[in-house]
Amino acid sequence: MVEPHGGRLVERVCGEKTRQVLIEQSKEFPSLPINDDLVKDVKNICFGVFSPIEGFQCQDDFESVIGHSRLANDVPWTIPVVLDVDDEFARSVRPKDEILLVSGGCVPAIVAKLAVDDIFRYDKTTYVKSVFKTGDLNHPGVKTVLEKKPWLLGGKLDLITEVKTRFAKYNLKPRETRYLFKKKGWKTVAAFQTRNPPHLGHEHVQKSALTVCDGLLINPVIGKKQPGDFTDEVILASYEALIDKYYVKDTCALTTFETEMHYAGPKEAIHHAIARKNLGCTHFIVGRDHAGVGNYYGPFDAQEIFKQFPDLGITPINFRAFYKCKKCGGVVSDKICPHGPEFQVDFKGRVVRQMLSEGKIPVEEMRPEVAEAIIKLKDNLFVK
Amino acid sequence: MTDPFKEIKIPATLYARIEKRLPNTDFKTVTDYVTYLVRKVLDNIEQDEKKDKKEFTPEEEREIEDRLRKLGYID
Repeated sequence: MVEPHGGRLVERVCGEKTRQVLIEQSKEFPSLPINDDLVKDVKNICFGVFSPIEGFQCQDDFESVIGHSRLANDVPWTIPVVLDVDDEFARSVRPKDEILLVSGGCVPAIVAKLAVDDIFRYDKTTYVKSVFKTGDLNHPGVKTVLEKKPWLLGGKLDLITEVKTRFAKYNLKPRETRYLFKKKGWKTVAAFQTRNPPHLGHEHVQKSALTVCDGLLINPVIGKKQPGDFTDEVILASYEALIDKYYVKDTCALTTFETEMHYAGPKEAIHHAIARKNLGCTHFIVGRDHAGVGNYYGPFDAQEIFKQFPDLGITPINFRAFYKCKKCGGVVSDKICPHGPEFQVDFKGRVVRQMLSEGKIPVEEMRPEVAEAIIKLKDNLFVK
Repeated sequence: MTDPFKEIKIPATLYARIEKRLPNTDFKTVTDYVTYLVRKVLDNIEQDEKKDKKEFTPEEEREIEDRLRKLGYID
């Protein structure tokens, strides 16, 4: 089994007694409401998806990530995991204080205890230039960072309440996926990250990876997305249909990665690979423009960046764009098909989306069972 | 803040060999290249040291297996 990132799988969950005491004494601690994205970060830290980090990053780790794409102990890390607070809250806490993080959702819950180690200001311009390679406000990730509050709190977390999502069934923790792979006898596992329902090109990529790996983990990102993106319900229902009808039993598992998309392209590809390594995957499929948005990154930048991390501990499987070739009679890429563009039929996302929203099956691009599963959700196809 | 870099010495002949190879790589400096190589070698050594470590206690195995069975991931 692949080692967790940094050598140890983090698990920071309060025992039942501690949990009860903290809840009973909650009024004695300062509390900080956090949004759904931060709740997800807390869970990912405390259950080890973000191993080896044990809490929100302190200044040394934060600056090392921004400056060198590594934690202060030299372990690769590309996206800061931080808790931002305003002036008033920053002035009210001191290092060694303990504060409770409270979910501000429709069902308030005491999510975690943060042992404050560090309170520091940060330069947002340096942050966005390092992570996103741009300061353009039209970039959704840049906009999110520039809207953050001016102070960061760093320190170790202990989970008090696991806030369940609508898709809890799919949200396996690293210990569970690791056990699952062991139980299934998968020594090598390829992770496939997605934000979309599968067309024939995706299926081809996944099955190509399955020819060299024992198992496949389809691991869609569930969380805040952009308006117009497919809903989480669509992604999960479509993959259930595909796996049921087109995958060999016991070669594939579907679980979710609950996190916010940063759209940081290459740097986010490394972040996504680290999370999948912690889930127990040995390989990570990197397609065209992974985690990109607009034209901020080159189509294969997210593949190139892996060369900078010889000690990442998970092997990228790089795939180019796929299309149908009329001459070959199937899904191919320019690496395996010698025929010219006159035989090439691209997967047109816009056409697929239009047909699905009209209740039609895009037979050239998608398995009928997959399309039918999507069409059933016709009132909930896209994020509004 | 402490300096994030330290100097080390390597034989001049080795330095020359690395420098000669630089044009055939994506690295700009000998330091970048050596850093890459050392990280790669250290990672391999560390992985080898840990590969036989047991990951679950029998009790943890039972607990996880029950949950995975309930969720339909294993029969």
